[in-house]
Amino acid sequence: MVNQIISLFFWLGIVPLYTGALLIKKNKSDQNSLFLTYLAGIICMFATFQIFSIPMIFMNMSLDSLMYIWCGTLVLLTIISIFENKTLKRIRKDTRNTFKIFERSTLFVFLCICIQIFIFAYTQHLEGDDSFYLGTATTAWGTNTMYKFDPYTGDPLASFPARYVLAPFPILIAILGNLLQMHPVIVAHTVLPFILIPMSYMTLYLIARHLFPNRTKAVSLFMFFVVILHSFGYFSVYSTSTFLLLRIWQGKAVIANILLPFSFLFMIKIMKEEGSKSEWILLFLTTLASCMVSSMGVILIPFFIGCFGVSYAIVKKKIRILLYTIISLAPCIIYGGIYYFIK
Amino acid sequence: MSEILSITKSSYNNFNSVGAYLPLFFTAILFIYINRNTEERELFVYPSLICLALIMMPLSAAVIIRFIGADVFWRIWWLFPIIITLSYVGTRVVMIGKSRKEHWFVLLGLFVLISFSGKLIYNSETLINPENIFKLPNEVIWISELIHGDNMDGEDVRIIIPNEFVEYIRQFDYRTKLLYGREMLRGNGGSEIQLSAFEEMSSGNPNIDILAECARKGYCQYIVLSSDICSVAELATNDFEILGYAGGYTVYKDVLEKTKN
Repeated sequence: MVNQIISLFFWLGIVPLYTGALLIKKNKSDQNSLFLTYLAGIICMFATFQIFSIPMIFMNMSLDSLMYIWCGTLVLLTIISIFENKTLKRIRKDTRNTFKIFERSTLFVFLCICIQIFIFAYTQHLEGDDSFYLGTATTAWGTNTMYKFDPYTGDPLASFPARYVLAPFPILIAILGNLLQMHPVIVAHTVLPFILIPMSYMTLYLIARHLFPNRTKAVSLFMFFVVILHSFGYFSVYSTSTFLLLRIWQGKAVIANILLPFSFLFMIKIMKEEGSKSEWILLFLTTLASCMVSSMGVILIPFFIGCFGVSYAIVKKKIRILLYTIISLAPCIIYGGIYYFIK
Repeated sequence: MSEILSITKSSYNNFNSVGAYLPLFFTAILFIYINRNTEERELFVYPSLICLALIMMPLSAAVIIRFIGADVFWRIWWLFPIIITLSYVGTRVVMIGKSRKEHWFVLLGLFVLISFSGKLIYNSETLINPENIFKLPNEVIWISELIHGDNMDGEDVRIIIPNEFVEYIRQFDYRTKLLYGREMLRGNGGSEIQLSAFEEMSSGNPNIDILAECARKGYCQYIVLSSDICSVAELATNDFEILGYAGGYTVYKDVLEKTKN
C-alpha cells in the first residue's frame, strides 16, 4: 500500500509537475501557474508516450520495453528540470500564489468538486465500451504484449485494430497498472478519476482566470456555474458532463473534458497575447496527446483549433497565425495519414 | 444530401435529447454577440459560427462523417464550448445586478433554469454501489476464481458465459477466453458456432444439447448458466458436471474434455 502511494505520488505528482515546469517558463500572464504546470506536465507525458508507443507497437515489442523507455525518458526530463531552473523554488512559489487568491467562495466551489470526485470514487458505473478499452489494458498488462489479442474474446489478432492502435491510451493504463502495482481496472475506475476530473476543473479554472483577470469573485462564480452545469449535465448519455462524471477514464472523455478545453485556453492566450513560442509548442504537444488518447482526437482537435485559427486569421488579417495553427496540427495530419494507410 | 441532413439532425437530437443546453448555448452566443466587445465575439461567437456552418453544410458534413462515422457523428457537438460559454454568460448576467440582493436573486433564477434545462447526473440509473474494488459485477470475479482454481496448471481456458457478463469478464481476467464477445451482442456477426451459442444463451431456456455441442466445437471447457435453468441432468448426459456456484449462476465443467487432456 505504501509503495503504491509513493509510486502514485511520484508518477502522477512529481513527474508531471517537473516536466511541466520545463515547458512552462515563468511569464506574466500566468502568475499562479501551478495548475498550468501540472496540466502541461501530464500533456507532455501523453505526448512522449505517443512518440514511443506507436513505433514500438508496430515493431511488436513488449509492454515492459515501452514502459522502461517511456519512464526512462520521463525521469530524464524530471532530472533536467530539477537542474534547469530552480524548479522546486518556483513550484513552491506557484503553489503559494495559487492558493493565496482562494477565498471563501472559491473554497465552496472546491468543496463541491471534491464531493463530485468522492461520489465517483464510492460509486460504480458499468460501461459496455470498457469491454474494449479495459479489456485491451488488462490483456496488455497480463500478457506483456500490445494489441496482440482480441480484448473481446482473448483470441490472437490477425492484424492491428486500425481504428484503435494509433490511440494507445489503454496501453498507458496497463503501464500505470505496472507502475502503481495495481490491476488496470482499479487504475481506470478508481485512480484516474482522482487525476482527470481535477485536471478538467483546473483547465476551466485557468480559462476563468483569463476571462476575468484579477476578479476572484467572478472566477469563483464561473466555477460555480461549471459545477452546476456538469451536475445537471445528464441531459443525454452523449454530453461532455456525462463523460466527465461517469466515464472519465476513457480516452474520448479526456478529449471532451480536458484537451478540447485546454485547446480553448490556448486560443484565448494566443488571441490575447499573440502567442509565444512556448505556447505554440504546448499546443503542438496537446494535439499529439489528443492523438494518443482517442482516435477521435485526430479529427476533433484539428476541427476545433482550425475554426479558431481561421476565424482569428480572417478577423485580424494575420496569415502567420494560420500557418502556426497548421504546424501545431501536424501530429493529427500525420496520424490521420497513417490511419488512412493501414485501415 | 437529404441523408447527410438527416444524420446531422439525428446527431443533434441524440446529443441534446431531453435537455435544453444546446438551445441555451446558442442563446448565450447571441447574448455575447449583442452585448459584449469584439474580443469576446472573436473568442465565443465566430469560431462557433464557423463550426456550425461546417456541420450544417452537407459537403463539409459528409467529409466529417466519412472520417468519424455516422454512428458517432454526435461527438461533433463536443466542439461547441457549451459549459464554458454558459458559465461565462451566467457570470456576466449575475454581475449585471447592482446590489448583493439582486446577485442572489439572479443566481437563484439561473440555478432553476439550469436544473430544468438538464437532468441531475446523480441518480440510480447511472450510479450504483460498487460490489468490489474492481467496480465490476461480483459474479465475474467469482466465476474467474472458480475456473482458475480448477485450472491450476494456468493454461488458457475458453468459456461460454451469460450475455450479461460478456462485456465484463475479460476486463478482470485476461486468461479467460470467450467463445463470443461483445461484437456478437452488437449484432456484428460471427462464426456459425458463435451464432448458435449466442442464440441459445439469449433464449430464456437454452437447448442444452446444442450448447454442449457448441462448447465442444468451440473448444470451451466451461459453461456458465443461470441457476434458474435446471439443466444439471441434461448437462450430465453431455459430460458436463457442476464445478461450483457464483451468485445466482452455476459453472459447469467439461469432464470429457478434461479426460481427453
